[in-house]
Amino acid sequence: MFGYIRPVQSELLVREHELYRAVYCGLCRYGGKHISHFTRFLLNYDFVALALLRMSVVQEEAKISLKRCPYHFKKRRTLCADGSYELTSAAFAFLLYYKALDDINDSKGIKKFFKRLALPFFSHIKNRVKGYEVLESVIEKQINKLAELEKTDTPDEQFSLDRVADCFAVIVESIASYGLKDKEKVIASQCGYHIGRYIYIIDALDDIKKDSESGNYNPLLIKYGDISGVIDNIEEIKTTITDSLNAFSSVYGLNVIGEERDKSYDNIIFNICELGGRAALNKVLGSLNLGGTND
Amino acid sequence: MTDPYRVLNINSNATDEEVKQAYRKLAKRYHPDNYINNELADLAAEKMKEINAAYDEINRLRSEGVPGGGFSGGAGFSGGESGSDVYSRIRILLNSRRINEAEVLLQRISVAERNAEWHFLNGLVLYNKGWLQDARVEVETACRLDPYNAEYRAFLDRFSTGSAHSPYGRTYSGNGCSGCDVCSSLICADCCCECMGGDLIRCC
Repeated sequence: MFGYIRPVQSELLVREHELYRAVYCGLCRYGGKHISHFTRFLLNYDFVALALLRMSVVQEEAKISLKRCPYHFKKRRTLCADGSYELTSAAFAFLLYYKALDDINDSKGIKKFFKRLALPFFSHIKNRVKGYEVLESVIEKQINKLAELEKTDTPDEQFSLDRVADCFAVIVESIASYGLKDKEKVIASQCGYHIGRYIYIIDALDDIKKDSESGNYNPLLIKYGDISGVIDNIEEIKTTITDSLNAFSSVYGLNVIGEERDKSYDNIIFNICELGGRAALNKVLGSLNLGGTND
Repeated sequence: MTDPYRVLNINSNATDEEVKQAYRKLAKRYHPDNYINNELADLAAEKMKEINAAYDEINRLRSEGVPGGGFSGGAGFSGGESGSDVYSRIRILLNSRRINEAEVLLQRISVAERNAEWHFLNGLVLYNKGWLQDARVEVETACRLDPYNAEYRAFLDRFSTGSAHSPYGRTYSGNGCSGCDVCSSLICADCCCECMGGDLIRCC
């Protein structure tokens, strides 16, 4: 589905890189054990970033241990932080299920039939998650709201990209801030919101060629008319995407003020919002031949 | 003098809002800027004068309470004061992060009374909600309406900066001009002047 929110690995310190990989490994392992083995193939960087954010905000105690990976047969350093993994895996399972459901509603004919065949698999994944009913209801509500907006929105000068992006952003916000209180909640929810908004808009930009050929819904095509309209306004889109990253960075900055803490998590997250997000944006622009580079 | 309502092409029982809209529409059409190097320029200027006079006349009549208007024109003036009152209340709400209440208050202010401050505060509300594209548009509007306001400018800059705590610094490649840029430009200018035999900065 996604994968836009990841650090630029060459800019990380070696120990930060190891930590990042350990978190990835831990999350993959946890999902495989508690949700379904198939999630190990579907896992992507966005959820790793969410798990990292959660760990960093709640300062979860975690230890690194060496464990064997069945798919690489090598022993790997794995970080155990079950609290954050549990939440992230639950969110992952819900999103998979509701995305599949949404796909079925969107498609027609034989495709719809085949997609429906796969649904029990996703609902099985979803049903293995226990105790996150509130989160599930938020995700369900927002996905329905988004589907509703997609149906009713017509090309219009008053069309607000933010209103559509809001649905997905609220989903990520509620995942990031689930069960937190006070300062932690404020920071996690705002970081989550900005991540969600970023992912939604960059995903729309990435899919723009595909959607304009197939006629699928794409908020950027609605706002700017057609693909040439998008290209004419590409600076505006770039600005709004980097604005989200900047806002994410400045909100996360509140988390690190005045505390003695391990800087590794913070550095990875700052890397994601200051460098990684822009690198992903450049890559997307490059694939659209709009002058982005893969730096 | 002819009937001012007829000049603006509206009914005498039109609301203040409709009067304002009609005036704006006509003023836009007959604005002298549209008639530069045009033989109709004089005519347009005359027409513009007439429209202005009619608008002033209607406002005067309504402020005196002459029947025929929906609301009294005086509300427009006192609106300015109560407006700033509302704005300070909205600022207090925003400071205590009561975003929704601030938004409701802002939406209550009529379109005609929305000034730079309104756009700025609306931008703040949108920024706090995370609606960054709409927020940027609002803050830019505020900056355009009130170009000398340092607070609006500073907030606009905040969009393009991340956290100061980030080890990666500012990677944003904007066209901004930092203090360092100013100094180095001055030194360069000084060097150039000295090459040509002059001097820009005496001490170096």
